[in-house]
Amino acid sequence: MNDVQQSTGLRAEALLQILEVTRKLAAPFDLQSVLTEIGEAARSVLHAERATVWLYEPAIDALVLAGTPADRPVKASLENGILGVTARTRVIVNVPDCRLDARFDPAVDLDYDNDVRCMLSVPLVEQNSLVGVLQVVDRVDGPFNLEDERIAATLASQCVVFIQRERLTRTVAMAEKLDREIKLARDIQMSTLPSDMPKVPGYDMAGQFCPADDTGGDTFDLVPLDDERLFVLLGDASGHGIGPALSSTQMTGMLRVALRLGADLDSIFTHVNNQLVEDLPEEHFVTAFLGMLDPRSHEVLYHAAGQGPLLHFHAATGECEWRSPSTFPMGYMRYPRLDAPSSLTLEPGDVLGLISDGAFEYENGAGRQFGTEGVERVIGLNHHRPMSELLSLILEALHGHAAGAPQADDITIVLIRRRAEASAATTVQRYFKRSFDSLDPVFRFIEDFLRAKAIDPGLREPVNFIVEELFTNMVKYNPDNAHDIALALGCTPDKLTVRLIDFGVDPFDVTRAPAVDIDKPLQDRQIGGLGLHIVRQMADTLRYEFADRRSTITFTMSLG
Amino acid sequence: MFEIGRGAAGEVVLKGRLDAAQCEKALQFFDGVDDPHVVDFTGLDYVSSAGLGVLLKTQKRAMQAGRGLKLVNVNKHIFDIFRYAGFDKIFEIDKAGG
Repeated sequence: MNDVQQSTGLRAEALLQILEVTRKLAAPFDLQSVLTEIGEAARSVLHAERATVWLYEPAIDALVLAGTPADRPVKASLENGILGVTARTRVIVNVPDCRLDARFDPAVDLDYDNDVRCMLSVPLVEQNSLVGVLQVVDRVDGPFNLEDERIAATLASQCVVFIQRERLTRTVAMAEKLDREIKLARDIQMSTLPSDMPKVPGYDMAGQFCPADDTGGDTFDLVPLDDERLFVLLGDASGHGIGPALSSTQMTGMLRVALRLGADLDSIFTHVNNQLVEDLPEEHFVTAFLGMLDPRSHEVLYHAAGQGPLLHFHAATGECEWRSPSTFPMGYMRYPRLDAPSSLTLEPGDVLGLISDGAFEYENGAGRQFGTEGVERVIGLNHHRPMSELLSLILEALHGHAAGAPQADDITIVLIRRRAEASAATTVQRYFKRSFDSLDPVFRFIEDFLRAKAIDPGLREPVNFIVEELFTNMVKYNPDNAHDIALALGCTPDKLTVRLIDFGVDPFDVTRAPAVDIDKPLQDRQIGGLGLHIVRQMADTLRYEFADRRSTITFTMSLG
Repeated sequence: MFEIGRGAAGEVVLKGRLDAAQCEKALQFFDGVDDPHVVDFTGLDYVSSAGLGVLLKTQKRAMQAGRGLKLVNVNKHIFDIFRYAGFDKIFEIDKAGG
C-alpha cells in the first residue's frame, strides 16, 4: 500500500469513526455523557492514551475539567500551561515533546506522574467565543502529525455543536415561553451559516437566510475546498418548531465534517442521507441541494434532493432555465444505489440561483404566490449587478408582492454568478500534474504566453529556469500530494507576473531559504539551495504567501 | 529534447534542454566517461539547477582524477546562470563567440 492509499484509508477510517460519534450523540444525553463520549472518541480516533475536555466558565474566567464533581471541580486559570496557551490564543497547539516545551506546566496540563510525552491541545470555539479546550495526550506511535490536527479540529467543531446543542436543549427544557425556545433554536441555526462569502476566482456570490416568524428549517453553506472547488448547500428541513432547526443544523455539521475529511460528493450525500434516515422522526425529511462547483471547468455537479426548482440563468440568451429536483429528499430512505450527480456548466455571466420554497410560495393577501415569475422579472433586469445587490432586489420584490402579508416559512437564497469579464483577462492560469513529466507542457505554456503577448524572447529561459526550480521543489517536497499545481501568467506593459500555487501543503518560504556561499572552494560546494539562490537573483521581485494550506509564490520580471 | 554524446575530439557534446527530467540521463553519461574534460555547450539552449548539480558532481570527480572540466561555447543566458551560481570561480568557462 503506498502513502496515498494509506492517507486516504486513514481519512475514510476517521470519517466513519467521527460519523459514528455523531450518531451516538444524536440521542439525548446529559452534558457529562456528551463530554465523556467526545473525549473517548478523540482518544480512539487519534490513537492516543488519554483525552480530556475542559469547559470554559465565563463567570469565574477559568476552565473546568469535565467529569469532576460539581461541588469539587478541578479548575485551571487561563494563565498557565499548554492549556492556558490554547485557551488564550484559540489556535491548535501541537507539542511533540512536552519536556522540551517551556509553556508546558505539569500541574495544569495534568502530568501527575511526570510521564506525558506529547500533546495536542485544541480550542473549542463558537462564534469567536471560547467554549473549552480538548486535550489529547500521548499518541501511541509518536508525536501528533498534521493529519491528526485536522481530525482533532474536525472533532472539536463537532464537539462545540454538541455542547451548544446540549446547553440549548437544557435551557429550552427550563424555558417556559415558546418564543424563548424559538429564539434559541434560531441562534443555533443562524450560528452555522457562513459569516462571509468565500472568495472564488472568477465568481461573485451572495447568500442570505431570512427566518420566518415561526421556526423553519432552512440552512445554507458555502465551503471553499483546498483545491479551489466550492461546496454549495441549500437545505430545508420539513416541519415547523424547534425540530427542523436542529435537523438542518445537524446536517450542516455532518457535511462540514465530511468535507474536512476530503470525502467526495457522492459519499457525502450517501453517508449524510443514511444518517438522517436513522436520526429524523418518521415523516420528517430534508430537501437539499448539495453541489460542487469547479471554478476551472465551471461545471457544477450536484444532487438536488427534493430541492427545486433550481435556477440557471443563461447570460447569452437572457433565458431562465428552471431545473427540477434530481432525486428524493434526504432522510426519506436509504439508497441501494445512488445515481450519478447531475451537472450544469456556467458560461460567462451565467447565474446559478438556489432559492427555498418559502420564496416561491410566499402568498400575498389575495392568496397569490410569488412563483418563479417573480424571480425571473428581477433577474432578467439585474443579472449583471453584484450578487449581493441582486439578492436584495429579489427580497425587495418579495416584500412588495406580499404587501404586508406575514412570512409563513423561512426564505433562503444563494446566488452564484460566473463573472462575464473573466474571459477577457490578461492573466492565464493552468493546472499541471505534480510530476517532472509536466516540465515540457509547463515550458510550452510559458512559450505560448510570451509569444501571444509579444514579450522579449530573451526572457523565456530565465522564466523557465525560475518556474522549473519552484515547480520541481513542489514536486520533490510533496510527491504524494494529489493536488495539481497551478501556474498563472499575467502581464502589464512594464512587467511580467508569474504565480505558482501549491495546494494542501505545509508552509515553506522560498524567500527565506538560507543563503549560499558561492565563494567556497569546489570540494565544499553543495548543490542544495543553489537553485533558489539563483532564482532570487534572477527575479525582480519574489514573494511568498501561505494561507489555507496553500503556498503561493509570485515573482515578477520587468519588461523593456 | 536533450542529447548527450562524444564529439570527434573526445569532448562531451550537449544538445537541447537539460532540465530536471533529463538529469539522470546526463549524469549516467558523465559517469561513464573516464576522464571528462571538454564539454561543448554549442547546442545547449537551457540548463536548470538540476543540470548544475550534474556539472558540479562531475567536476568534483574530474578534479580528483587530475584535471577539471572545461565548458566551451556557453551561451549568454547559461553563462549568466553560471555566474549567479559562482561556477565561474570553480570551472574553466569559454563563452560562445568569445
